[in-house]
Amino acid sequence: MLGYIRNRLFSLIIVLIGVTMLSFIFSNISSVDPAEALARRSMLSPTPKQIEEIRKEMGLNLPIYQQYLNWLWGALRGELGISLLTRNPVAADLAEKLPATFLIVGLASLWIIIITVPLSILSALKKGSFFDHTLRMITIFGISIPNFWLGFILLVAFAIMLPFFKVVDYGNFKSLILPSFTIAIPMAASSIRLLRATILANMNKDFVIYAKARGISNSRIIWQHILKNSLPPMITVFCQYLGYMIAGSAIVETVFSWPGIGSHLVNAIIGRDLPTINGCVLVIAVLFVFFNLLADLVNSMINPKMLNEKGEF
Amino acid sequence: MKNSLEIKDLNISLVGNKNPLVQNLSFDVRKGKILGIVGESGSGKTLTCKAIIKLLNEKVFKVSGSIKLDGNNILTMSEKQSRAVIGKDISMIMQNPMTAFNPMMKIGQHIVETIKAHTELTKKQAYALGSSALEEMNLQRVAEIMNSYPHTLSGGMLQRVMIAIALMLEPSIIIADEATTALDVKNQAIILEQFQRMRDIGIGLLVVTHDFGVIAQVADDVLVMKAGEIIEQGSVYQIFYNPKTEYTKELLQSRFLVDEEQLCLV
Amino acid sequence: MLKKVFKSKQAVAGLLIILIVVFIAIFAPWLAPNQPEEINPAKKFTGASLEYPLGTDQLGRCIFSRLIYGARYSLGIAVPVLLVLAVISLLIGTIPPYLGGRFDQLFVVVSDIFMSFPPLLVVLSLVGALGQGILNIMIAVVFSMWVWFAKVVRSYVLLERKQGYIMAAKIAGCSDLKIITRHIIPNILPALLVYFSTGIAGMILMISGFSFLGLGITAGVPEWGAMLSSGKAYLYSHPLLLVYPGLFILFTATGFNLFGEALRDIISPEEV
Repeated sequence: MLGYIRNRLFSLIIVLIGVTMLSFIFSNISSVDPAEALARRSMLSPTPKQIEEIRKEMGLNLPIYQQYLNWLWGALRGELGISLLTRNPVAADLAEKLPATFLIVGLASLWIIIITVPLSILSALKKGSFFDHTLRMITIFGISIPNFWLGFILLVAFAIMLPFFKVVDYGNFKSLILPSFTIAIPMAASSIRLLRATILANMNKDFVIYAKARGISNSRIIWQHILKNSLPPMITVFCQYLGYMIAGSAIVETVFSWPGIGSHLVNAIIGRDLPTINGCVLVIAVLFVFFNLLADLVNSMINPKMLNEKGEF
Repeated sequence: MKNSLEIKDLNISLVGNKNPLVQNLSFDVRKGKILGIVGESGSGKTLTCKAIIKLLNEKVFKVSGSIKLDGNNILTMSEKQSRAVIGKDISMIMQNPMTAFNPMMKIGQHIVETIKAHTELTKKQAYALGSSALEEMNLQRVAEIMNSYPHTLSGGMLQRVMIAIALMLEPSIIIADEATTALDVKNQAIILEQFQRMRDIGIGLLVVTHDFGVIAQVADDVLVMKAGEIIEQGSVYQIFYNPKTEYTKELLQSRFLVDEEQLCLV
Repeated sequence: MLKKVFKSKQAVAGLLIILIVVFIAIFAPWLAPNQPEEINPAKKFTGASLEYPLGTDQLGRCIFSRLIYGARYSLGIAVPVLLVLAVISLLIGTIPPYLGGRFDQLFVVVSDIFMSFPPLLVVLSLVGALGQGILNIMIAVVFSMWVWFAKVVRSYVLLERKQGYIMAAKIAGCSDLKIITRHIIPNILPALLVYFSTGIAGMILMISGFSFLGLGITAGVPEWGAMLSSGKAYLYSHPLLLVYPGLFILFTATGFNLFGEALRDIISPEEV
């Protein structure tokens, strides 16, 4: 178990180095000269000399690997540069935006679990029934629906026709409901499909037949045998969804004018705010890596095959 | 001797399809006797076993006739009634011990859940009963086995655990479906010995196999099945020394052919 | 196989939707009653009429005609991107496992790094760097998705390679190239079709999402996502401006998903 964690942490470091490199490269293949961009923001018509000074000041005249190392060193200390748009430190902006995104993603995760578990169990148990077919069609719609459009439809339907949900009022629990639902629905649709398939695959396993032959009650077979064994793949996928939802918040947050990291990133892209783009990409990628690691750790804890590699005694 | 399991006119077919998969099957399993069913794969022997313990999905299979355990017809019982019988009065030993246990549950949990499903015993009492059942199977370090996950035990060990589970609630009938097929010769011998011990304590045993060697070693009576029907039945001596149908002769011969081939390969 | 496809109601429904959208895209100039970009300030927000079947938008453009032309953008972007991805993933998914050794390990490491980014994030940061434009969006989508496609192809290849007949072909003296092109690719193709079909649906959603964010496609282009984006200012006064393009996206994506899913059921019935 300890050896496993050590291996996993080692590969995590390699992946993180790759992630930081890539996100650095991504933002440096831009056709825009960041020194000039900054100069134009502070002066009306900067002279080439002024641009050169800014370049030196920002370390942009150094070779690219040197720039990368400087940036990485800064990132390790939590310094991600100064935003060109807000003039605040990027890290401070992110610290302010992240909790808002975590709020909707957290609530969305809750919806996903509440929706997925009972519906998948029911549709697997009643395989081939009217309910199963209907749910199947609904989930196909669920994975085909454009997220931002769903957001608008919910907005029009609830906030305007039934003004219970205050939409553009950040900080209020009611205002969280619609955005989190919008993010959750496509994810719930695909996880229903996955959990149903996993349950069905487990239903025909030998250990379920044997449990029936031992006279174990149906409810115990479902919870203790089938669902318990369906858990590991679901945990992996769910943690991946967490990462997707944080990246996907870019769209939903724009629809609901939610001040989270996603809409922050979109604004930075439109405003060509490179330090902010870099910082957002880094933070989201690190979170994604972290959630994947979390899935592996949880799985290794609940899965006896990984827990106990000693074999026979 | 009293009949324990009486099967009469058992017919199994797919729902919406008239072609029977198992046709007019009638036989008895007597207490303290071992009845062997042989046949090639697809002859309907596993289907018959599954019908007896109600493992066939009612939406897919249509089962008619009667399966009586001590006079009570299992087929007409409610689900609740039949579940009380299955696993207690009739228990089952499965074909592949390596996959029959839930990989995420300890052996002890399997044993305790089985006992608790059929008795009023407390968890502690159930644990003690399970431990003594394992000890009777000559398993060493029982506490350790109870506390281990299935993948840490060998196939032979798991098969013995499965027999212990089958025996611990003192059933009158045990069904063993190809219970020795997945095992090596040494473990096969151990299991066959256990079959004989079950017979000696008065349990009726139904041994389903395609292996005439197993039948020859333990069975008292034999049914030969082909394409869902019984084509020959009698005592083990009759079948071996005086087979009446060509099919049985072929089956007997093919066993020896296979053995020769295996010898060549070694 | 084909027979089974035509027997499945779901597959036929999906195929029908796909064909309808393709038909609309090809014959858009004949189907659209008006020029999609023709501005007519005198006729803002008119209701449905014979001249404008779904009314006009904030600039007096014919909504119906814009929707019809939108099919060209959706398919015109998603299909080429998918073809490029299919070629890349077939090359990268089949060759490294065959060469094995260092080369294969390199692929695993590189793919691990690329898979540490949610695809959406890669596209966002690339568009941020490359700047706007349809071509840039297409490049960014290919760049973000290739690893996921290649991983899927690879997993099918690895599974198929374990089959007995591949070993038999090897013993019979087939070359690796022949095994890949004659045996492995034809055998995994149905499974890949499922993935590609649902992949198109995902891509249509993704691309419309970007143009909704105002990335990639310039405002005014009759692309469904862009129409939604420019309609959002009139969410409260003219919600229909938002409803129509979304319905078209949903319709198209549903077609590809229905078809892909039905195909999956036909290929692997045990998972149904």
